[in-house]
Amino acid sequence: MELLILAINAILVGNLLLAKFLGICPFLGVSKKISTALGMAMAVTFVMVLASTVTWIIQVGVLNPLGIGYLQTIAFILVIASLVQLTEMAIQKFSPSLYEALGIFLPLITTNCAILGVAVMNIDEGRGFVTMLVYSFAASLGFGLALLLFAGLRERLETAAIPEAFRGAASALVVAGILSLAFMGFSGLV
Amino acid sequence: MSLILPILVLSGIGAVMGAGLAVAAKFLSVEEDPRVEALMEILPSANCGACGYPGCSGYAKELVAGVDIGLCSPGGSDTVAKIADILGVEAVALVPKVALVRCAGGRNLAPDRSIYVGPSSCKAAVLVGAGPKECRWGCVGLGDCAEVCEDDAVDFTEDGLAFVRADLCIACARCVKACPRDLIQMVPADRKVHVLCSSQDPGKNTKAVCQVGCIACKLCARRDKASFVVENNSASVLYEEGSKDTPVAALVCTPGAIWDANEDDLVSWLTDPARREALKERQAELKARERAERAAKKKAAAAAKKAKADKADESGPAEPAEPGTQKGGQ
Repeated sequence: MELLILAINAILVGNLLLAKFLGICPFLGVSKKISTALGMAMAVTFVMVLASTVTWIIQVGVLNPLGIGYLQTIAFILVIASLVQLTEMAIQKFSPSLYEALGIFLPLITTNCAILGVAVMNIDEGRGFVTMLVYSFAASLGFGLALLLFAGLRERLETAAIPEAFRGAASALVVAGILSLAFMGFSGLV
Repeated sequence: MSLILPILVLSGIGAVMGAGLAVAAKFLSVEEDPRVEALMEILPSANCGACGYPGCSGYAKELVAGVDIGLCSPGGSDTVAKIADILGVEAVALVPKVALVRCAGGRNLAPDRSIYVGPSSCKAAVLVGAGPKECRWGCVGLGDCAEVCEDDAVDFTEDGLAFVRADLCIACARCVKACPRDLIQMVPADRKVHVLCSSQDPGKNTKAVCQVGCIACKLCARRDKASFVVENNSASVLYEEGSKDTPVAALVCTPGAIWDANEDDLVSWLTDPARREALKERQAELKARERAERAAKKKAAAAAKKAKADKADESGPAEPAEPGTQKGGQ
């Protein structure tokens, strides 16, 4: 039950993109098409769960016992960068079209603050292994949910009759703001 | 110890990750077509986008997939030959292109109606009351095209009219996108006769705001229907197949909006004040010559008719002997 609450909290109430404002770069960058957004969400999910697991093991198993917890940031970045590289290779191998569509945003997952944010949050909150796993997965699901919702909205905006000055990035930012406001409605849920 | 431990730990993590990646690279390696790299070597690396693909690398990838090999205009025929060599296909003749600003109305011929004070950009200027120029189609002359040109091929006349120096133009078509009035067109470099006006106002209005604007009189199209078209009150050259240079069209153009590169180079054609006087004289000459030709033709035709009539008179009685008439009689 506690895990379920944690998951709902991570997906809706404390949504990475719309409540914590982490990982805005791909949120605006790869949300033009639902199919690309889905690919990005899956890549982020993969990297986030894997990175959180590995970083948790490193923090709890290596850094803390040796008393060098201050190496957290640099060690985590090292892990995340390698994992992104791995994901990139895998996607290039198994789905070249997705690789093309994600473009520069794929290597940019390296610097996606949502990944590092979740990894660091897991440590800061003192989560256990299972809780960490659930939270990371739920958080990435929340990321994917927000990304897909936003991509769907933007696809419709493409064909909507909006004043020329508001086309493109301007309306996208306005919609992002409204979406974030809407997600604030979840704040009393848990 | 407190210094060595972090170093050791970090290097350890790095080494493990590196090893993991090395193994993964072996299993997940994607075989890239070696021709792509070879193509990257010979493409001009201008990354101009003239081919319609994102950068030279984008074009190289598409080339391997089998797109038209004659799209790299900055590279020219040499590059096309090399591409054909690498891909093992027949080289196609690349029609070199140049950018052409289709407006001849400098400030002296197409006056301004207001003084624009603001950011020095055509895009900004045309937003304010349809631009500072009386003609709402013409060149504003603030140089958005020159800004994007990396080869300094865009120059300006004294009267603030942009024009492209064909010898410097690599046909990247960046200026085509930059011009807020869509004045710039990519034209085949071997063509000599061009219409340098883009106004779509009715002739009367164009005449009121520009001395060299196309008034859509259709004289050019009447001379060569296959090469000129007049649409939306604007004449233009059809550069496609079947069209050719028609120097006489430049001669008959009432306002003198058609430039014939055989006669003048672009700068003098745009700036020489005596040019239009000379054109009028030559138009009168042409008219007189054609009238004389027509008269001569008429005369010749009349003479031929007369001769025929005389001959018919002579052979008149023999006519019923023709086989057709005989047959009809039976």
